[in-house]
Parts: sequence; C-alpha cells; structure tokens
Amino acid sequence: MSFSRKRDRLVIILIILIPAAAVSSWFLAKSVNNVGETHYITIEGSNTVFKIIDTTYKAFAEYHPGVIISVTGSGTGSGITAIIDGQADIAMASRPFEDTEQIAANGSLNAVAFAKDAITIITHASANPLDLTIDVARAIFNGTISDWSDPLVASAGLTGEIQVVVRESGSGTRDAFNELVMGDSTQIEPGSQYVNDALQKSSNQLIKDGVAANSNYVGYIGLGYLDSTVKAVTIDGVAPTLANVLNDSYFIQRELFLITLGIPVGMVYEFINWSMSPEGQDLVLETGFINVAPTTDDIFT
Amino acid sequence: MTDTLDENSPQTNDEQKLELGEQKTYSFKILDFDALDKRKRLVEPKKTQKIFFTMLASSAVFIFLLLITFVLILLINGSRGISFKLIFMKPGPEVDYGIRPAIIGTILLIIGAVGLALPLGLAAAIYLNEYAKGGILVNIINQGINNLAGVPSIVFGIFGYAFFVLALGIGKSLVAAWLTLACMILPTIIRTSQEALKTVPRDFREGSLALGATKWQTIRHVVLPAATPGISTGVILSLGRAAGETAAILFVGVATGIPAFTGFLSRFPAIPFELYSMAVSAPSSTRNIQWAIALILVVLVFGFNLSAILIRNKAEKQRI
Amino acid sequence: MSQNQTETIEEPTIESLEEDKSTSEESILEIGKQKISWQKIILMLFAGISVIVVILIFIFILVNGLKVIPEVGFIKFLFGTSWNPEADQYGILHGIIGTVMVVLIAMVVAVPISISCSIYMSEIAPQRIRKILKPSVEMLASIPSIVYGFFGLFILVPAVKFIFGLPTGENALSGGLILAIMVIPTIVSITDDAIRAVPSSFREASLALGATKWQTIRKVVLPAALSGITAAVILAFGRAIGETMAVLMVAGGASQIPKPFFNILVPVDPLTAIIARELGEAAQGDTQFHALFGIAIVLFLITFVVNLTGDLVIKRFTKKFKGA
Repeated sequence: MSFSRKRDRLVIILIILIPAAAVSSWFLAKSVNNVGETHYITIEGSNTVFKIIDTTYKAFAEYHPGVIISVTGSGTGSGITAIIDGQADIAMASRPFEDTEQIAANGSLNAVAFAKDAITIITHASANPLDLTIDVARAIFNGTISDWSDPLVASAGLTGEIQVVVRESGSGTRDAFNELVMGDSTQIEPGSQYVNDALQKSSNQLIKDGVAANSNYVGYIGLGYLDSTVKAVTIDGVAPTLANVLNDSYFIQRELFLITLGIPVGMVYEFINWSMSPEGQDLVLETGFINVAPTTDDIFT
Repeated sequence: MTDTLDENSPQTNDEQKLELGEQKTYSFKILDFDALDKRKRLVEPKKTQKIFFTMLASSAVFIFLLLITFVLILLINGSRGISFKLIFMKPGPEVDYGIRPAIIGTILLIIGAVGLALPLGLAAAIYLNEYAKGGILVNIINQGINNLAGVPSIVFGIFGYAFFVLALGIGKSLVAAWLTLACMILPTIIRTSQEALKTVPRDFREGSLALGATKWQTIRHVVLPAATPGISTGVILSLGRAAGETAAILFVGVATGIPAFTGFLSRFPAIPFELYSMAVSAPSSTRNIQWAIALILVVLVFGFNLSAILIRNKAEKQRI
Repeated sequence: MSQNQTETIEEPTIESLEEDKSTSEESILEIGKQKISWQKIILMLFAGISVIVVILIFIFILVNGLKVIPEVGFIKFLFGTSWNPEADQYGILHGIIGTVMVVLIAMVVAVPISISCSIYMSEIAPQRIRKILKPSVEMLASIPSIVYGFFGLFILVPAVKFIFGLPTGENALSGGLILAIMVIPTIVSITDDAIRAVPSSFREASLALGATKWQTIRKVVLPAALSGITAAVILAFGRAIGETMAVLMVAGGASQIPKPFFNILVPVDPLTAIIARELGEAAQGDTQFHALFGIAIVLFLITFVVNLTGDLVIKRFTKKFKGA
C-alpha cells in the first residue's frame, strides 16, 4: 500500500504500535515477578479494622524493609470475597465469616481474632454523663423515646428531638449492637428495629462526626473511635473502658479478625504473627481497641 | 406577554390578479411605534428584553458566586492543612500523611482512562454519526449508551472486578482500573462527541465532498476540527469524573500505603481513595489535612482541564 | 480556513481527482461495488469495541440483578417498604422515592439556572466576561463528587438544619441541592455548545426582520438549539440519577418513606446510596448482592424512561424546525 500522505502513514504506525506496545508490556509485566510474591502483602476489608491496620502495617514495614503492604478498606464482605477469589492475602473483618462464605471458600477460611472492640453509645460532648439500662438504650434507638426531654434521658441535659445515627446493614458493628442491645441481630423481633428516620452511616468515624457536631444526635461506635469530641454512655453503671472490657463487665463487645484462605505462610504469616505479639498488641491498644493477647506491659509487670 | 411583531404588521391587500400593464398602488401606513395602542401591548419588547437579560445575567452571577464560594472554602480550609510533607512525600516514619504516591497514581489513572476512552468513544461517535446513519440498530445503541449514564459508579466498580479482574484474569491492578474507568466515561464521551459532530453543518461536509475529498478526508480535515470544541467539552467533563472517582476503583485495585507505581498489573494509590479512607477512619482532628487533600485533587483536575480548555479555545479560533 | 484544507484540496481537475482517489484512499475490501476503506474498518472496530463494552455492562447488571425476581419476588422488591437484609427483606420503595425526590429537586433547581446562565454566556455576555465565565463553570465540573460530599456534609447540612430548625439537616433537600450544583456544569457546557452551533444566519435573519435580541433568542435560537439542550438535560438527569458519593453523605440514609410523600425535609435513602453503602459488605452470590443489582436495573429503567421522554421531546420539536 502506498500513501501520498505522510500523516496517514504516521497514523497507521501509531495504530499498530500502540496495541503492540500494550500487549508487549502486558507480557513483560506478567513475566516479571511482582517484586517477589512473598514480599507483597495485600490486605483488604473492614474499615473498622483498618483503623488498627493503618498503624500496624507501617510499623511492620519498618521492621521488614523491602516488604510492600497494600491496604484497602472496602468493607468486610468485599475483603472476604477478595481472599476467596485469590485477589488478596488477608481480609480484615469486624465479624466472623459466615457459613455461605466458608462454603464458597471450600472450608478453607481461617480466622485469627487479633483484637477486641467494645461498642459504645455516644452523645454530644456537652451532655451530662448519661447512664442507661439496655432497655432504655433500646427504646432510644427504636424510637419509643423520641425527645431529649423524656424523663428517662433528661439527665443528659440535652434538648430537642432525638436523632438516631446508626451503621449500615452488613456492618459488624451494627450486627453486634443489634444482637446485644436491640435484642435481635436480624431485627425481626418487634421493638428491635431502629426508628424510621435513623440516619445510616458507612463508618464509625462518620457517626462520631455527626454526634460531635449535633447536640441532639445519639449513635454507637467502636471503642477505638472514642475520643473527647463525644461523650460515652455508661451501661448499668459500667463505663466502656479497656479494663471493663477485659473483665467482661462491659458486655457490648466483639472480636475483630484477620482472615486468610488456608493457613497463612511466609510474610503473611509473619504479619499475623506479629499482630498477636506484644508489640502488635501494643499498637492495638494504641489505636484505642482492646488486646486479646499480652502486651509488652503485661509481660513485664 | 404579547408580541408586537405580529399584531401591527402593515395591512395586507386582497390578492388580485393584475391585468397586463395595469399598475396597482398599495396604500400602507408608516407605523408610529409610540402611537400604537398602548393598551394592546403589555410591555415594550425592549423592556422585556432588559428584564429577562437581567434575570439571565443574575443566574450567571449566581453560578459564578457559587464557584467562588467553593474555591474560597477549599482554599481557606485546605491551606490550614497543607504542608510540604503532605504533597511531596510518601507515608513513612516521619510523615503521617504524605500523598505523593497518590498524586502520581491519580495522574497515571487519568492518562490511562482517558487515553483508552477517547479514541474508542470518538471512533464510535464518528461511526454512529457519519457512517451508520439512522437505522434501528443505531437507535438501540444510542439508547444503551444513554442509559448507562444512570449507572452508579460503584456498579461499574463491581463490573470491573468481575470482568477485568476475575474473568479476564488481569487481577486488581492499574490496568484493570484503567479499563473500568474507561467504561465509566465512555458513554459521556460518545454522547458529547455525537452532539459535537451533529452541530457541524451539513454544508461543511457537502462542500468538502463537492470539492472531491473522500468521506474520510472530509471527516478528518473538516468535520473533526469543527467538532473539536464539543469533543473537548466531553473530555473535560469526563476527566473530572475519572480523577475524582472512588467507588469505581475501590474493588479493582486501589490501595493505600504503597508506592505510586509497582507495575501495570499491581495495585496503585489514588487521591480520592486517600480522602475516602481518611474521611471514614481518621479522627476529625485531621479534617484540615482532608481539606488540603481535596484542594490538591481539585487543583490537579483543573490542571488537566485547563489544557483541554486551551485546546478547545485554539480549535474555536480556527472555526469561523 | 486552516492550512490543512489547502493541503488536501487542490484544484480539482479530472486527472487529479482520479489520482487522489486511488492513492489516498486505498480500499481494502470490495464487497460488490462498495469500497470499504481501512479507515472505515478501524472506525468500525473501535466503535464495535465500545458497543460491546456497553452491552457487556448491561448483561452483567441484568444477569446479576434479574436473579432478585425469583429470589425475592417482583412486587415485594419494587413495592416492599422494608429493606432489612438481615431479615431477608428487600423492599426498595423507599429508595425509589428517595431517588425521585432528590433528582427532581436537583433538576428543578439546576435546569432554569443553567439554561439561563448559558444563554447569557453565549448570546449576551461580552467576550471578556464569557472568557471568564465559561472556564469557571467548567471548573465546577472538575470538583470530584467526594469533595462535593464534603461541602454538603460540613456546610450545607448544618445550614439547612439551622434554617429550618430540623433534627437533622441531612434530607432530600440537601441531597437535591448538592446534586443540582453537580449537574449545573454539565447542562451549562452542553447547552452553550448547542446554542453556539446555531448558524448565525438564523439570528441575522431574525434581527433583520426587526426582532429584538431577546425575541430572537426566545423564538429562533432556543428552538433551533433544542436538540442539544434536551441532550444536556438528559445527560444531567443521568448524572443525577447515578450520583453516589454526594447523596451518600448528605441525604441521610434513613430507610423510610417521607410522610407526607412530598416532605423534603426528612432524611431519605436514594437507590445509589443503598448500593454504595452495602455493596462492599454483601457477599457475591448472596440474595443481598442480587438485590443490589436489582436496584441497578431499576436505575436503568428510570434513566431509560427519562431518556425516552427526552427523545420524544426532541423529535416533536425538531419537526417544527426542519431545514435551514
């Protein structure tokens, strides 16, 4: 084929070159071991657990230079899906894996409980300390008590309509709260459903932001998110503290997991092992959650 | 509002056949505008125009003020959180929040996504508009493209995961994200390119063909340059979307804590994901940093858009 | 005229025409008498890929979403008032109402403002104002949706809460307003292009007949640009229907149907927010997974109806203005 126009020739070259370049780089990339498989750890899953991992992975990387750790908080469900599909190494989970998931994984899912979380009911920072029974707490969240002037909650000293803020369906935090406070994790039992106009947020941080900014809001978060911008509610006189969780007197608590497909090996094993070690458990504490294994303090006292 | 145009036209005479040589004189009145019956008109057209033009201008002013407000908010809040460390360093022992990898990652994402979608979309628009005119098939295709506009980005994300990551075996990677994002912006580019091609007057094409050019030459040298402004608009609108997308890349390989580029088939960082991760799990004391990241993202996208705008301006100048 | 054209188009003599044809457009295929050039083949290929992509996405959503009909039931899905995956309830009526509310608010607010602005920008504004205005509007388009979510959540929501004295500022109104701001650039840009594409001969003729500029715009330019304007509005509709991040953060996410149904000051849960919140948690192959894709199909249908209406509008109005 001859062409009178140089430009046409150029276009043809480009049209052949670009796909060729793409295909060859694809081959190249596939053949090159991605920085060595054992040195690339991919972690995906729960945003709640991400709060811990966001700190621990940096520390771990310091101890193991040359390891690249990629972390993505995209939801517990998608994390477990990712490891089942072989697309990630570790799943961060704020709930135990379900039967359907274990079936999909041919029974090879392996969960390590590496931290504990307590669920705290929170109010605006300006509120007086509030003590609730489980029944009253349930009444607030299912809308039976709808105004802060109600005698059962008036001691908080807040005004206005109560605005309930909760986590979205599928959240481990919500599941645990529903089971332990609302009385039914599936929320079928009468009285176990949230009030109609309850706002649903996709993370603990967002709930906390809302409660911190609005004096009439009430919500629940994981203990690791608790800070001075909000006030924690005591349940039957028991405050949500580390000690009370460890001695089980504060009973709205649950475990957080790192899940793998099969028994972890290599760097993945190192990471999980390290998370259970005193240094790792130190970091769990540091991020505000509760350790399940001895910390460095525990060992040396 | 009545229009004075039709009510006071000169009187028309009855149609009458003229005999040869006969001349007919027609009488008419020269209208005195001010003498026209004021009761028949509600408002003078010039006044109407003034009123409406003021209203139109005020919407423009409103939108402009909206932009200024946003920019100010971004700048004021963002400047509190911005620092050299944030922009130019990657996360590490001394650096709590460094988004240099994410910035590079986002740039790579944009280039790849638009680089894929633009040729494909433009070609599709050219083919649908210039070659395969009309017909039921074209209509169905157009319907499909339009309907895709309503699909939430997260659905594209899941599609990308199931198709590119799993089915095609590409894995969670930069390439998978390119493909997913390209799918997402493809409908916009096709639609706006189609509209741009439609606005090129038929005379342009016909004139060119009449001068002996072939169809392809016409398209390349006459139609496309004339349609460039509209096509650039489509690119501009899509760039912002591709750069700012979180949900679409969530399941196809975005991650935090990794270097900007570890391979075409490896995971990658991106600015909107950093923003999302922080909004969802970082304490509110970091809000300023979040605003700063938002500012950086907007500046980046605007940088890309600016170049598209400049290209369009140049093209507009060439078009008469 | 640009330099390119003088390159291509030389003085057409019979010989040069023959020559030109045979050297610059070599036909690869000859089906009967039809010569198909390589350019057309490449175009077809690329266009075909685009179309295949579009079809694939459709099929993917359909395959996963239609499963909701046997698993949940058509009526229960579309008209069920309770969405509670834990209890196996997948009714999305509140979601449909939520989407309709925020999209309607967004379009009602955005369309008049945008079209007014682009009329001003393209017909009335002096060049130097237009030079500032047009890039400004497009700058609005470059703000990512998550940043709009920030604006909405930290600025608009408290304002709405304060102005109306509500228990929460996260409601349909806030969602709709943020959406409106997000679609304004789309409508303005495309409408602007459409108006500028109206040949100046139209305007000149109208002005020559004695019409004022405004009359010209109203009766000549706008109707002529109607196809483009409708396309802009439809594109904006699509964007508003499919927008996720911003409504997720701003509309409240309450699984309820407002009482009364037009109350825009209570939190609602548009369909896209439901998907965004829960798709990350749903396990693939679950009923919840299928239900979320069922929602995507519903979004398709809503977009489809809107597009269809828009196309009918275009057809009806362009019939009146055929030919130059």
